[in-house]
Amino acid sequence: MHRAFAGDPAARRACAIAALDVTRAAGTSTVTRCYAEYPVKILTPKRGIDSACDCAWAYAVNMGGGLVSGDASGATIRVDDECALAMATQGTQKVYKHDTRRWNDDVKTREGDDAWKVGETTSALYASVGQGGLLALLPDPTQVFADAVFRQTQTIDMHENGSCVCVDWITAGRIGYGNERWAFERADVRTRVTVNGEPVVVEATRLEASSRVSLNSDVSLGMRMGAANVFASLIIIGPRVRELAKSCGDWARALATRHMAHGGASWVRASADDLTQTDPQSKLFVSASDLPLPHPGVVLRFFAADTESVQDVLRSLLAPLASQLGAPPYDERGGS
Amino acid sequence: METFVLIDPLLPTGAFAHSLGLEPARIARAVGTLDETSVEASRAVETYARECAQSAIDAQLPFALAARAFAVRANEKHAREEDDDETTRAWRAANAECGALCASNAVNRRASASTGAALLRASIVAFGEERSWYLRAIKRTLRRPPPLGLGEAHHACVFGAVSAIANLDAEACARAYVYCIMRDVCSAATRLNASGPLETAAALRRCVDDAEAACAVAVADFNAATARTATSTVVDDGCTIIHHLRRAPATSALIYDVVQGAHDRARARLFNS
Repeated sequence: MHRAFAGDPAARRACAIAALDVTRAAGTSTVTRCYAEYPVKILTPKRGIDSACDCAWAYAVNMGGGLVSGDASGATIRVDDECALAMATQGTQKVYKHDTRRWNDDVKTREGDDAWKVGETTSALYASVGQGGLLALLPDPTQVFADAVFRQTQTIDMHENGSCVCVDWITAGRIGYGNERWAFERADVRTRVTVNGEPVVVEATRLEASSRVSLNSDVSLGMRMGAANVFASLIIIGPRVRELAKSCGDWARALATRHMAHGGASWVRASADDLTQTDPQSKLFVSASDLPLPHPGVVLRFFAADTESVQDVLRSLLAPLASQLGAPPYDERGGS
Repeated sequence: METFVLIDPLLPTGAFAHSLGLEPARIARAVGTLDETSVEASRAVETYARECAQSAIDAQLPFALAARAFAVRANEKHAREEDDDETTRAWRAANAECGALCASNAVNRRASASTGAALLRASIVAFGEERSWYLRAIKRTLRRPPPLGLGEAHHACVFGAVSAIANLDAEACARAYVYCIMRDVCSAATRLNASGPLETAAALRRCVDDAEAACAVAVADFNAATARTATSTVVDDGCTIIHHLRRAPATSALIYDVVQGAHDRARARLFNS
């Protein structure tokens, strides 16, 4: 853990707020350590989960209803050899505005690289997956509200025979609240998957308001995003999810072929007002990338006009995981 | 004038086989419409070039600056190519991080690896045996078995190393790298008939002003994040730079990056990426 967030003290502090260990006890994957500090709470339900399946479930709950300016949240997870853990959330992760009045003095007095980062809301997760282990990260989307400054960093360090399924998605914000779309100051979201310490895939995105010096400073972030309201990525890697990676990759490639044949991304340039949340024609674009050898896996990346389209897709794509997790992901019965 | 050698299309890097995502964006209709006017077309190309260049500044430029820094340190140490020293190891670590960042977009990863290999090969010949010893050391690591062997040398990391050999400072390296990005997008736009040659040249010139400022900010951020202290060793410097590469690079043109990943699904195409 220390090596993973070396040189990043804010992330190291954030991922120490909660800890979860899943090891073998009585022949099954069992949560043997569960620690959390306010505002994080971890629930480990068993109802609705198939008890015959060798998998533990945990839900990360934020007691404050969201993250406010300067909050740090996160967890350190250990999935032992031949164990499985599904980690979900109770609802969307909300990130509220960055309160400059609270942090201005610190910004003036601190020097160096971290000065501009003082007060940013941080979420950090470090997970290690042992040999034959499986980690499924199945959170609800992150909603970054107007004027928020948010950084999320996740590192999944796997044994070469470990497996993980990692969903990460971000929405435009409170679309129904005065059309508050992509109105945050900055959102930096990063997932890094390593195998035996070597980086395999890094999914990193940084979206910033037009206030900073850039080639896009004449255009607001909302305009740049067009009619897209959700971005999502799905990383599937490891021997236990090899078939799932193939089925998801085949589905994504088939849909991308249809979209490329018929201009399937033209909707993104429409005005956001032309595409309401209740628009019956859900708009979604996906592309898939197989991971480089020797790592068996695939990365799917989506953008869509509404959250429900992405949730339906994830529910459908990840349904085969129910046999390993004990409940279908993103399903009302037991998933997120 | 060695800067001109580096950015001149005469240097055979295969860059013009790539549209940097413009072709898939046009096929998917994320850029341009069927009934656009010539003014709208050139404006759409300019918008795309700006997004692409800014995303390159955010995602790839830190790797170029890091590779340049490692090459400069190697020269300071007067290391010889027989030594598998810390600076070559650090370059490999940076290259591995760059490859991992590209892994979620297989089309971009393929383009980065092919243009990186071509730039490495061309630069070794262009700059001669004596000056290209660092590049030849990098090239030898590609042939070694894993975990030392890489197989892929990514364009941003090779560009940074070559810019050090061409005696470019960090600002010049950044400007040259970003200019090549914008040049390649505009060249592809002309060949795709997305915009006329004169309008495209004008669009490129308009982008250059903002690109200079954005590069200056990026270089300042990199220098601030990786500043050497009086007591830091070469190993400390390398660790600081690698830590920065794990925290900072990120794509900012999400829509175009996702669409580029679907380029291989197009029925017909002119470009490799």
